[in-house]
Amino acid sequence: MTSPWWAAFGPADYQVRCGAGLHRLLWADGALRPADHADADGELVIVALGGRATPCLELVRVWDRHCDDLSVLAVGPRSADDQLTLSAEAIAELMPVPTFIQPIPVPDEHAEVPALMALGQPFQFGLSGAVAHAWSADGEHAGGLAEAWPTLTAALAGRFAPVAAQWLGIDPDDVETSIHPGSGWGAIELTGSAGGQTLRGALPVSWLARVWAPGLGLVGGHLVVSVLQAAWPVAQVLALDRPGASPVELRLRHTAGAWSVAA
Amino acid sequence: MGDFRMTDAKLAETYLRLQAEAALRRAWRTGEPFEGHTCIRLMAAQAWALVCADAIEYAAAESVIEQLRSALIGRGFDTLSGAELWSLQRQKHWARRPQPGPLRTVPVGAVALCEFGGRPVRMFLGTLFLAADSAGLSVIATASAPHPGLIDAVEHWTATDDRGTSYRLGLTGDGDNPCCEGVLHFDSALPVNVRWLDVTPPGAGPIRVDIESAPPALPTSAVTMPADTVAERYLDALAIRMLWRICGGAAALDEPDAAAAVSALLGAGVLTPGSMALGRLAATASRLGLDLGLASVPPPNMPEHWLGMLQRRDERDGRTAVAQLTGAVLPELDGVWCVIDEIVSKADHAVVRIQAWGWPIPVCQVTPPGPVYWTAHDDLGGFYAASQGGRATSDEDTSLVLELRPAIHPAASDMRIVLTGRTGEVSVTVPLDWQDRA
Repeated sequence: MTSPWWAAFGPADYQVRCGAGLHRLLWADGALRPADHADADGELVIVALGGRATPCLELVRVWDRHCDDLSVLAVGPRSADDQLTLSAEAIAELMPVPTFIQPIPVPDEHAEVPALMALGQPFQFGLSGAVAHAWSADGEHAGGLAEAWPTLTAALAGRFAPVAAQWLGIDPDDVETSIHPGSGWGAIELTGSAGGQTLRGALPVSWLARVWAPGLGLVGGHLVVSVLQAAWPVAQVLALDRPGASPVELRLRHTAGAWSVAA
Repeated sequence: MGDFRMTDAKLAETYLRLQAEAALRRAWRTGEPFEGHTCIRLMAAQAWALVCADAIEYAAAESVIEQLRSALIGRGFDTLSGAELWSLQRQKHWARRPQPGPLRTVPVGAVALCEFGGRPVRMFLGTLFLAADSAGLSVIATASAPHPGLIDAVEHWTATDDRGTSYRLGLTGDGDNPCCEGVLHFDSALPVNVRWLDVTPPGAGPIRVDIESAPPALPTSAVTMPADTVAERYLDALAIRMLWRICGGAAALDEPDAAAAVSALLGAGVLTPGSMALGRLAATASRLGLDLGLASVPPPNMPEHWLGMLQRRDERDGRTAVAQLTGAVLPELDGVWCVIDEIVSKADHAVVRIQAWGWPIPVCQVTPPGPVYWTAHDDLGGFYAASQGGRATSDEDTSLVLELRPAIHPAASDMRIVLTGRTGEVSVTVPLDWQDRA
């Protein structure tokens, strides 16, 4: 895999009220940037030294804090059909529950992930991809896979099952997913007979970051299992046309808001 | 990355997270009616069962439930409010309490008759507790009639030891009129080799507590149980809770919650369908007409003593009397020390008052109950189940109130009271020397 994990993502932007005007937040190349702050890095240093952050910079800081936060995968979208409705009331309700240890909730930290999700679906998928990459074999937390195994298994299952179900026309509850911890793209196997089939998929965590998050899971009736090269809006992928088949290389192009097999 | 083995705890957490994932998928994908409250409650029951079985850490279970709740709210589903979930967690979080360390107990068994507010109050001094850095004396105050401010009558005691050192005693306690109970805490620890104490209630003469020649403590037993049987004990706790309820206990046992708990233990591989405790639970549920989804589990017969309990479930022949106890100290279990102060027998049930040190909070159990439960056996072979209430009265000690059912057999002359916990079972056998309450 020579392309960076974010290479198949298109850019996304969001307008936020900052000072007297509307500023653009731009997510591209795997990072969130305040597009209308000429010296954002300098401003962030000042904030780090105790200066007050503008809304743009605060969102960037919050984003950076959660780029490896597994709770993003627990809360975030499972598919494009899975719409999060994060109103201000919902975010307020997601404040932490007081506990014995901490009877008074600390508001900001726990409302941060919902606040990031409220930026909209492109950002939800981008942040989910960043987190998944952080825990992938080439991510900064690769060594922590065993500790994060339950969360990552559920994150993978929750996202692979809808894709696989749509691919084969089966119930997502009939999809069993596990993490493929070794090298290679993994394995997909269909067992049972008609009426009682189970699809077993073993995929690496990087599938979430490189395939699912940029919307490449199912393209043209093919289940994409790996990205070989990407430079949005083009991607070279390995894909299966049916369970048990050998993966084939496909060239995909993102047009009109969706990926399709290039001619 | 290579091959690596997951710990059992990670496997159980993975199971729980996959269950939560499937629940969330049903919420956003199917378009069918979906109740966020029910979803969270049943998932919490599964999570709690795995915690009780020592299959996962509490923090992991809490994380799964919190994140599922956040995911549901983020998709516009009603779920438990933060306060409701907090309440649920509060009840299920067994926070560690300071443990008293080695505790020496001295049976006292003295009675002081005092006057408070112009009315007589009977003070029963049960047991003296001597720890390395503290000392306390269990006390039960009983007025002849409801008495406003009764608990104040127990305050302001003093004591003097055989060396002339004086102590002030302050009460931590609880109770409902006309009876309150608690511990009189000494303002400093007693010297190791103190021989006797004169304890003086307000408005009465001193009571001599002879430490050196105190009567022997009551007979006890302690059994350590294998760690891998915690789940079995949890299921027995569920079954005993059902038996207690069928004998007139007022608290609910939510069948869907219990069914969810059992399915989690089976699904996570903590239990197998051949588990004896599962069979006992299935037999009990079947006998009581409860649906826990265990129809496919081949139930063995219910234990004889459980059946015997059911035969007495409707009896109303309990004495109306009290047995006040001294030296009824349970051996330490899981860092907890318990001293049984009295048993109050009523027509259809009995109340057992206990002082506990190091008891984990919260005090009250909910359904499904935790892995800690109380039972009792009388000398006639009768079996009793208990629910447990009460409250923490200080940083260290807790007043527990058990409701024992069915009624104590009027011919029983002693009773073995058993506390079962994570690591084993301890008991103390107490005489039932009944007296009138007043």
